[in-house]
Amino acid sequence: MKRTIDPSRPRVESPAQWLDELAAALLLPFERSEAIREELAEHLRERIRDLQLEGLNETDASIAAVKELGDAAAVARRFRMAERTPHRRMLMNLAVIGIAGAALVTSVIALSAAPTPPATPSQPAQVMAPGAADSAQARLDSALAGVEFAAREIIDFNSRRVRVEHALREALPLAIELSAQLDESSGILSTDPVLRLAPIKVQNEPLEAVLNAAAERAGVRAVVRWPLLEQIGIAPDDLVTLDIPATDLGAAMAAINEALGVFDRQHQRWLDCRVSNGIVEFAPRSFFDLREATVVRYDVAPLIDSGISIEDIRELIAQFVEPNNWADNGGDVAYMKHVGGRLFVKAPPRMHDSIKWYIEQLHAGAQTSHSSGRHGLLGDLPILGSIFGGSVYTQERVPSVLSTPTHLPIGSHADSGRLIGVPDAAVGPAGPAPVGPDR
Amino acid sequence: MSNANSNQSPLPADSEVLILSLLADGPMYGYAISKRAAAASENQFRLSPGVLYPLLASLEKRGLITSLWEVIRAERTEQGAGRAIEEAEPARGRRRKWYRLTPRGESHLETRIAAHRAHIALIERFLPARPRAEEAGR
Repeated sequence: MKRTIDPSRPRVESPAQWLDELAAALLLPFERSEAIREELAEHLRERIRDLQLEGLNETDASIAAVKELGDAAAVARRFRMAERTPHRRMLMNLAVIGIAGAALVTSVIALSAAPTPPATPSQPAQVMAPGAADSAQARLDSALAGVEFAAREIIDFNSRRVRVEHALREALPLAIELSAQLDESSGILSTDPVLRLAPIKVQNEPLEAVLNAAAERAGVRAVVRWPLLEQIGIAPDDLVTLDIPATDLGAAMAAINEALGVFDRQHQRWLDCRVSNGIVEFAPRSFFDLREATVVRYDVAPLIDSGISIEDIRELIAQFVEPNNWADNGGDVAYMKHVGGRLFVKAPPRMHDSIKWYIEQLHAGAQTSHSSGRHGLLGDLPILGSIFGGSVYTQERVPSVLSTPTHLPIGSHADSGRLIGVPDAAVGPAGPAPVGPDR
Repeated sequence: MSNANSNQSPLPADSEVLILSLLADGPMYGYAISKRAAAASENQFRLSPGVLYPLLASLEKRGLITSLWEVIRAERTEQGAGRAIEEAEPARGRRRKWYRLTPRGESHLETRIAAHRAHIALIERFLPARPRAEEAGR
């Protein structure tokens, strides 16, 4: 990447502006950033005073003192270098992440262990018993009781959407946001934990330094697959300029890709990452797609019975869900095969989410044309009940195939064919359950 | 130190020894270190604050120096100095960070001084008794 200079950027900032710029570029834990800021503020104060005693007016003294400090980004880089090394600190951070991660896993397991009876094709979706939400709330409270969080907010579990946010510790500019969606008709709680990062502001920094600093700031170790990234034109010394507010990892990755001038998500030329076991791994999206692809079985027999040809179904999926990934279209990420009314699809979880939506729409259309007037909850529909076995994926929009999957892995990626936190029994024997050797 | 020209910044390795040497005289805070370095070298060495503070952080990280915050009480700024900073500062008292040498730092400094002197002595063996320019002028 070419080095870019923002012409709107003032050449000399005020002391406060310089300190703000430094603090934003430090990419260090908040406490440490503030200590550095305070020390340099004191330096500036004394230096300005001395320069005034030498005869400069206040404005000139401020300008001269800031000029002596040099470029805030360069000073921040030196501080980051100085802060590196000691393995003890890294181990300590990993331990904190490990504890918090374990708590989250515990909470998710506690939630997903809801006593959902095994669904059968003839059985409508389970309606959540009165008081079950309270019970789920109690289980979450119990699971998180032993963990120290700086902030904790749990919105009423009885609401359809539940949002839980935790800042792990004030010292770590990292929080795990756990969003959960409760399907009232099935009683299934799906959770979607994502990492949130503190603001990132860097100017013309090498990508390698930015990734390492971001990981270090989050208290995890960065593993970067440079040989693979270089194959898609992303190099360690690519210069990036970022000004990202506090956001989730997915949005941060999108911003980094944009800064790198990478916009080609569909062709997998896209820097992506995964966080697991105290490590953040950076690699091309295609690398993760191949590693995480799972085989999911979709029961399309009812659709074929309703008059929709399997060719149309295949064409619909291959044209609308990341077309370039399909083997039929020359890709090497996704494959599908129809056998006896069942469509076997091997693809990354992100694509399965989209495929499920299209299949659901086809089922809804087929049902409408054959409906005897019944409508409303999906669980009331025998055909859908037989297809999804009680596992209702209530998606109100087309899942964005452009969204960056940066879920904090809870369990192995072999499970990524299903929504995290959905109990096995709820997926059901005839639903879109991951099958085959990749599971 | 190796740089003897007027108003030069010492090399990072030299800066490290310079800082440790100054702290061997007693605890000091960052700005005082930079002023003392300038004064001791008759303004031949300038420790740029953009280099000095990260270097102090590095030395502290390595356990060669340690720090302590001093709360500065009721010190009024003169002629409005630092007003721009104070506007952005929290209401609590200002603090100043003092550094002092640790036993490990003292030992490290002794080693560095010994190595430096040995190096100079070795180089001296290869140098002519008097500078050539001086001889040519005779």
